[in-house]
Amino acid sequence: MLFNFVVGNSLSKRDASKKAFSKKSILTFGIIANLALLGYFKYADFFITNFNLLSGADANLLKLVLPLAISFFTFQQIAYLVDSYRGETKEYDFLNYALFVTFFPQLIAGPIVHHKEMMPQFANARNKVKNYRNIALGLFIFSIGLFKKVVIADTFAVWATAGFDTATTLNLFEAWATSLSYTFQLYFDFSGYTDMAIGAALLFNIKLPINFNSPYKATNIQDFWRRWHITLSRFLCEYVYIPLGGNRKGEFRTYNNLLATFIIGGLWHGAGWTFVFWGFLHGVALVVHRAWSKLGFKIWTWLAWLITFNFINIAWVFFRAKEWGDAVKVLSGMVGMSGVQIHPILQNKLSFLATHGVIFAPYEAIQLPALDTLWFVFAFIIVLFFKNSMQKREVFKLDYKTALFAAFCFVVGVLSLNKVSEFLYFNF
Amino acid sequence: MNGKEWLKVFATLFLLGVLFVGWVNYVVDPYGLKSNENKFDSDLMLMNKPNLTSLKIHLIAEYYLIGTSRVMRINPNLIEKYLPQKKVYNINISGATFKENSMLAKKVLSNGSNFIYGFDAFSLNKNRLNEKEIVDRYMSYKSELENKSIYGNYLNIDTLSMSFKNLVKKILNKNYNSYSFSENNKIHDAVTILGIEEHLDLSNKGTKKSSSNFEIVNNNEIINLAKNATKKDIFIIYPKHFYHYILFQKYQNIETKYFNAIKLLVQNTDAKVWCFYGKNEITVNDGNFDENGWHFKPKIAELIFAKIFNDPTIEVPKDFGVLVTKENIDEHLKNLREQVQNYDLNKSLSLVPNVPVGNAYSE
Repeated sequence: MLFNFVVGNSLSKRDASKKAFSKKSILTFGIIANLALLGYFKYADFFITNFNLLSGADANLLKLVLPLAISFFTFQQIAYLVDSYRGETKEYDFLNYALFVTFFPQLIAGPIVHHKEMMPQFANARNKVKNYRNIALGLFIFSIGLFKKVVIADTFAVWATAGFDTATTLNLFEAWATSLSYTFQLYFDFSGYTDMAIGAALLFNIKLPINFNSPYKATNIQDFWRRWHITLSRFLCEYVYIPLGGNRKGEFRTYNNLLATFIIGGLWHGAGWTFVFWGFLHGVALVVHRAWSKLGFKIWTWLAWLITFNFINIAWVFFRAKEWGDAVKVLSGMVGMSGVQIHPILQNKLSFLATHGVIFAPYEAIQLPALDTLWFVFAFIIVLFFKNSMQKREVFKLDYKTALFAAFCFVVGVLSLNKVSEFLYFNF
Repeated sequence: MNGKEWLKVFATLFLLGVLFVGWVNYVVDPYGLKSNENKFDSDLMLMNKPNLTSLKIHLIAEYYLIGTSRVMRINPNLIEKYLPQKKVYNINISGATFKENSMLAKKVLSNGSNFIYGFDAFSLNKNRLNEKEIVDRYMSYKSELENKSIYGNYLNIDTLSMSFKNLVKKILNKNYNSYSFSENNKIHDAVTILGIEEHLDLSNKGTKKSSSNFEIVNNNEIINLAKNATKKDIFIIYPKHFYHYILFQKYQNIETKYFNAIKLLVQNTDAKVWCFYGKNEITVNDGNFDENGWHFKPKIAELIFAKIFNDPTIEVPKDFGVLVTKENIDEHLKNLREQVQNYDLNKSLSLVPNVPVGNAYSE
């Protein structure tokens, strides 16, 4: 933090050009230093493993403990350095800078914020007095986030973990339940965390940027990335895609830039080839979407949604799988290669399917009771037909309805806290 | 309404909500904290809830069922039938380690209660103890057991959800949980050696952590558990399908290591040790097990406790269950070993690809 403060300060001082090193050299040095630290902690073992594989060497892995949220605070500080280089920051107080980096609600897993959008809020004297409306709004948003995380995400987590990590084979419905469980778990987990961060910040009169805007309503992949982890998309666009040339250097170069940006995005999420492949898949999808749009093709909205959602769902399989074998297990189950099994609750009505090789048995491989399949219906309804928490924030009113809704979410959330769980994005 | 009023309404509703949850859970009692009568479904569905285990231990029953997922199939009410006026709680942990079960046993004994302890082979595998999930789970049980404010565990949404399921079940007179476990007489798949091998990966390829690198925990830990137990406590070696025992003899020296642990237990305890291991009328019948012979069906639990409590109203096969003592343990283990060796193993193993049949008898 001190290092970045010093580098940022020297970048933002007007007379920096007169010094021995150019601003660009200082910026490059600052970025390399940050990435080196991230690389050492997060990617060293990944590179050693691949080096061993390619060269046949037997170098020992470092097995370092990943500092909590290193990806987030590294990106935030790189953004600060670039903004300082561009003359968009003016920070001479280390304490202010420390507050910007370590502001607790968003320290661990974002939203990734810009220096320029936070510092004026910290400096504003009106934000230093108690504001009951903001406290109420903060509790309202926080309660929604808590409910999303501990009630919805943690429920789906059980089936996702059983399907990906424990089960040896998955039949058609178990495989779809596994992939959908993770799709919902990740969304409710991460957006729940973000809501809690936004809510907690509001208690201090600080407004954090929106990070999710109903991403599973997206009808194309570009739309999805405008709704999912918005502050990361913003970072990748401003600090990777545009510096690479963006769409300014012709169509072919644009496609390359898109692909490169998303492969970097994949690698940012985790040190593994499955993450790289996930980023590659999204990069390819964006290229296809761009080419498709250029050619002027259009399809029905419902079909566009169906294709987009299924692509995202399938891509998450690679994102979640600890090993390629796990991804293959889930995907082969999803296309029916491991058989079709229907819950015995439907045996009376669908018994004729038994002659076609369908088995009637409980979904024991993922520990999914029949009644709990309703959770999937519930999750689809919420992500597709309900206003999201940020839309609710915009129309928030101080009345009994919002108090009752918030209290319900808070009671259920707090009384569900006895389970062992962690936020998925803490790992990234 | 202004912000201050909104916050007061929010706080009041929150308090009322919490009290409502506690009241419903206390009255419906879905996990049989007050009474086990008709609560078996909830116990069958019980998947590792440290807070509930802690609550059951603090509520002090006379007996506790400790063990792995096999114990999940045992209705505490079944044992209460043999021990009138005594309360029994089931505190199994699915995939339990020896460290977890020993911790529970120690806690139970320190409260003046007794246990019925499943002395399971794979819970004794010390190489599982470094897995992150296992360490995390152990720590969550440990911290819950140290938690003094246990009645807060009534304030729990999981329990509320189970309470509502119980209420719906009572109103509609339906049992939704019956589908979650195989019915007593239903067989989904025949038990096969190949199926067991795939399930457990006993050939030690290292992909199944619970059964790979099988090494028994230190002798001292077993001796401590054995010596702390009293005459009122019971250890049970629960049955698996007989094919498991063939593979135990073949792979990783599991049979010898497990038998040594059983012998150590028997030689150092005052508690009764009942052994349902081996080839008998129950363990050779596919219809008595689920999941490739890994878990016995609930009906077998009835036979086990009928044998232990010498219930004349239930017919138990004579070869099912032996009370092992310091005097007969060597002879008993020798018999068990010979049962496997004398079985027509070649025929069974010929079904397993790439397994040299001769090696099965290499010991």
